[in-house]
Amino acid sequence: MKGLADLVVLRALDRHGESYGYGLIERIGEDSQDLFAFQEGTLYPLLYRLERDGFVSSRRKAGSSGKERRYYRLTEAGRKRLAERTQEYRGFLKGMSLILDRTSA
Amino acid sequence: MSPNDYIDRVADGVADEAWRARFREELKEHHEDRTERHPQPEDPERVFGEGKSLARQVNEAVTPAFRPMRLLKSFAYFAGTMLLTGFWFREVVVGFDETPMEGSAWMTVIMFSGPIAAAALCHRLVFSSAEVASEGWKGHASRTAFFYAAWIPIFLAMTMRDLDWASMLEVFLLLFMVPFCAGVLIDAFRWFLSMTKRTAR
Repeated sequence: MKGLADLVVLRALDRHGESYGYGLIERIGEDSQDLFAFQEGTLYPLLYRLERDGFVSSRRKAGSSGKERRYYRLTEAGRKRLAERTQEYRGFLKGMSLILDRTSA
Repeated sequence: MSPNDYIDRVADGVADEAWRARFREELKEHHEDRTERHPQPEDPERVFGEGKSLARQVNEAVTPAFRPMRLLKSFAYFAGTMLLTGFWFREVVVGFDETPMEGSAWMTVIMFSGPIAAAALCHRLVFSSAEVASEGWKGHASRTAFFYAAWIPIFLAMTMRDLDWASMLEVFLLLFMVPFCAGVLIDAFRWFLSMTKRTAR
């Protein structure tokens, strides 16, 4: 299914709030019990595309450690997008379960 | 290859200067954060991904999209705004010519409130807030202001010459194609330029 990584990132931002790149990778790893892992560099083009499309916004700010990082957060359009993609994905999962769990006649 | 060499090499593959600097900075910070948690040396290509592919993904993500639908919507927006503004001037403002309000401050308010209301109404009807956000408020506002400002003198000249509706519509449609085609060309040119830069690298 296309756009799965988008859904994962949008959901992580929705659940944990504003986050920077490495923090986001850690949150996704924790949430998926390290089952969902992607090459870490690919997170950035994904975030840039989401930002270009208005689903996330970013700003540089100092975190609790005092280090300045670029933080990403979900926009209102991003929240709507997340709701749509979640619904689509749930439909996809339901369809797949029906196909995979069907016993032969 | 050392992580810093890898980061520099990947970032150098990004065509746009501002995005190249931002990507380099974020990869370096990411590497710094990662090294704090996992101090043992790792192959950067395994952690971050294949360099050329990563640079290509960034180029694709930051390339301004060529969006004909946005231009068609812009067309609908300005057409609606101008027709409503025309109606306002011809039917309301001109009607006040022979009243005591002529030349008063109220007259000025009435003259300008029509186009503003027309623009706001058409904007709400044509563009969704998600579309505006995707273009960015600054980009959207400057595009809107450019098209709209280009039309105000033309429209005022048309109303002052007291053209009838048919000829006004004709002139309007003919002249409207100028900013519309300019918009198409500007978008196509920006898209072409980013593709050329990317190919050159």
